[in-house]
Amino acid sequence: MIGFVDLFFFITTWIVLMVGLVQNLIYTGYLYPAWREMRRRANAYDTEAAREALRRGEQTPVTLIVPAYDEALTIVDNAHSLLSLRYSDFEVIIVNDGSGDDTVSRLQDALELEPVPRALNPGLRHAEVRGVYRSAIYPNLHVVDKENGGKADAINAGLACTRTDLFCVIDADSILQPEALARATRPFQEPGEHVVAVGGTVGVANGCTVRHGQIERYDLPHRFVARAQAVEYTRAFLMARLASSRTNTLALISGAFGVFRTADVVEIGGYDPTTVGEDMEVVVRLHRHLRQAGRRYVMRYLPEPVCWTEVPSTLRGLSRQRVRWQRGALETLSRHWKMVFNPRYGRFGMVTLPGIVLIDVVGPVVEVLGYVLVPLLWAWGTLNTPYFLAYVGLTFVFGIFLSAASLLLEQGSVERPTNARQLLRLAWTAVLENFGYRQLNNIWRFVGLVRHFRSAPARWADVGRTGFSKG
Amino acid sequence: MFLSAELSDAAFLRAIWMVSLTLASASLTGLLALAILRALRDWRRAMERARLDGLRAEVRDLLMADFSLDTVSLRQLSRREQGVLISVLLGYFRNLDGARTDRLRDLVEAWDMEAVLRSTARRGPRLDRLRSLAVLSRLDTASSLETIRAVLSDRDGPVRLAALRALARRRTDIPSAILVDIARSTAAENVALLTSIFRQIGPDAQEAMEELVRNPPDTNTLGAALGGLAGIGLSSLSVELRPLAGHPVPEIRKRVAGLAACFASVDTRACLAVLVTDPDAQVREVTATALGERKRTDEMDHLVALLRDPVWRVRWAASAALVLMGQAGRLLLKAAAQDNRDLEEIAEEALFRPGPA
Repeated sequence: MIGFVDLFFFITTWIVLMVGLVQNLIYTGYLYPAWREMRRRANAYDTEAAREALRRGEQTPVTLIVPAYDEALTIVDNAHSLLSLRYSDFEVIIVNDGSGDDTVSRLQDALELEPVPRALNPGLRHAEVRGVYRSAIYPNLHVVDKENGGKADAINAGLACTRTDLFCVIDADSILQPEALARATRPFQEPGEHVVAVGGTVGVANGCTVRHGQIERYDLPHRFVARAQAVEYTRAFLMARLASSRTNTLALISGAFGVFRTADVVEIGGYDPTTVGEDMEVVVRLHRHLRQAGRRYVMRYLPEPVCWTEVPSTLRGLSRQRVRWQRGALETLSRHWKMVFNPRYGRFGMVTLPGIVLIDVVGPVVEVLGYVLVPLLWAWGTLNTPYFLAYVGLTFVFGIFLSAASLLLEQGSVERPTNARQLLRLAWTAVLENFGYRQLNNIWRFVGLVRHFRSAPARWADVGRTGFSKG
Repeated sequence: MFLSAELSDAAFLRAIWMVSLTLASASLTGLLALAILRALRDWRRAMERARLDGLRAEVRDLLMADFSLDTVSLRQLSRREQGVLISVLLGYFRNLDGARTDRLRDLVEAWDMEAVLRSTARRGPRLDRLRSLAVLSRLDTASSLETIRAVLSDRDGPVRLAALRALARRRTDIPSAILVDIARSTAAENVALLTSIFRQIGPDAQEAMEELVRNPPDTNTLGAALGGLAGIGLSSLSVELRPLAGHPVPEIRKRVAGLAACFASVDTRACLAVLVTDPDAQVREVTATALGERKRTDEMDHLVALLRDPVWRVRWAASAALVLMGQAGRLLLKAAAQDNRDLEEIAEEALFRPGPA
């Protein structure tokens, strides 16, 4: 006869196994549609046509919104880098979010800013704007100086000043590919679909040689923590987002780079300044609004790297980032809870959001529980070897398959600068990251879950960046 | 004490382990194979690089200098070297016109390259075909024109579009039927490119574009044709836009508004009068801009009405459009802003910066 404690352990261990199995099946399910999307998009960009459009000034006007907080050291270089983009019609709006350093005065000195009248769209919530300035040297560069209010608040202020049909949000420290805007705005030119947002692949810049604001030589990150993130970006982000793009259920467009249709984002009131996961929240709210309004729309994700970013190269920095991401995802879910399993929101409500609940809410709790419970019970002889092997298979070995298969599909489908040696290092990292890195990630997500329920206030996160070549 | 296997299916558990192990091994083996293939590719490229770099440098030197040619014929080069040569030529000449294009022609003649270019344009890897067509588009021989025309009926859509672009660059007559046929078969995924080609061909493409507006195979082709008609400085349209003001797709109505801005006819006037009250705010915004570009003071009433639009961006676009109208529009905007505090900031910006962003 089975006692109560035995029954509890039995149910718990099977929940651990089943949740792991479903999570892995979801990730496996991403692989095929993601590969199809990569094949479809791989040859979609016509360099000659883009050059012709650039020469004839036929590109859709875009405003680049660059929220900046304490970026005095790099802001002038970044502004110059953005102004050298290969695009015929764009405006840059740098939003100083009440920096404590001399971000504005450095911009003032380098770009000869002068105050200009600029009406602010009242439909967007943001902290008080102290002034709007335009560069006397570059008439397409504006600086909005405002009180501190967080990243989303800064984006809203930039959006309130935006006059173009499209806007692009980028991080001040991101490195854009010269043709990033031309690639990302292309889907908006197809009138057959109402494209509201386009995201692009964010590459890991650690280890690369950066010169004059451009990637001069590609290399893998030197440190394991950063290299594991390069694998993770392919497995968890690229594959999931490409698959979602194919089914029009994209739930996140990275805050590092995303192009949106201005009118649609203004219509929903812009970004939500009260969340740390503003990039995910705005995308989910767009889905909600457009589906409620019964409008047909499309969100796209491009497999080509459009932007490069420095990822945290220390465990401390990474833990901060992951806790913040987890809190952002949970805040978004709690705000849009009514969409989960709601047929009114189609596949997004019935499949995508429940998937996020499983991976971001249930997953970390169950996985962390499994890390403690399964080895203990097995050591005590409570669990048999077949169960233990199945658990190890799902937790460690299947993870290797997902990472390696994602790399294989990506490297085999899209032109990447990776050479054979780098590919082997990535393969080795794909094996190693399943022993320690992935478990730490789950623990940080668990911490994020706990902190979410404690509701600490949102703020700009310092993830301890060290510079590209040191990563 | 319980044993999981007593209550569960041990075979299922073993299957999980075995499947995980098999998949992980297979994918790692695949990665290893890919790494080997990449190593072979990199090795081959490295072997060729020195020779090709030399060739590149030689071509560049020739292009930069007043070349007195005493070089090999292109026929003597390997296929890969020919590809590099064509790519260097294309890279050098892609945005050039006038005297430098004459030098390209001299070089092609001196090196006896045209036959190879024509052959590559007809068959081979797509990228090489596109590059060859781009070089052929800058020549002025009848045989190169004949090749481009032949490629127009190719099975590969992007190659056909490249041939069309080459013909557009040659400023030669393109039969309207061919233009319509290619547009119908390729526009769905090439809207921007097709619009650009239409604009490059200019007024000669009017008949084809109007045919596509009348009988579009899909929304994208209709959009490309409307976009093309808007950018080529036509004096009149023979297709009616008014019915398209009620098209179910907002993106098409926006393009109709953009096109109506270019023509001062009864039809376009009626069309804009409908679009001013469009249920989609983005269409009203584009319509306001279109009215400003028309600069017809007798249509200012529409803009004054749009100054009271519930959507801020539409009000802003109407203000900017009034400024585009000239002194009369500016005075009207100032007067409207005096009565309406909501408009004050918008008017101040619009009057400070003439025209929309």
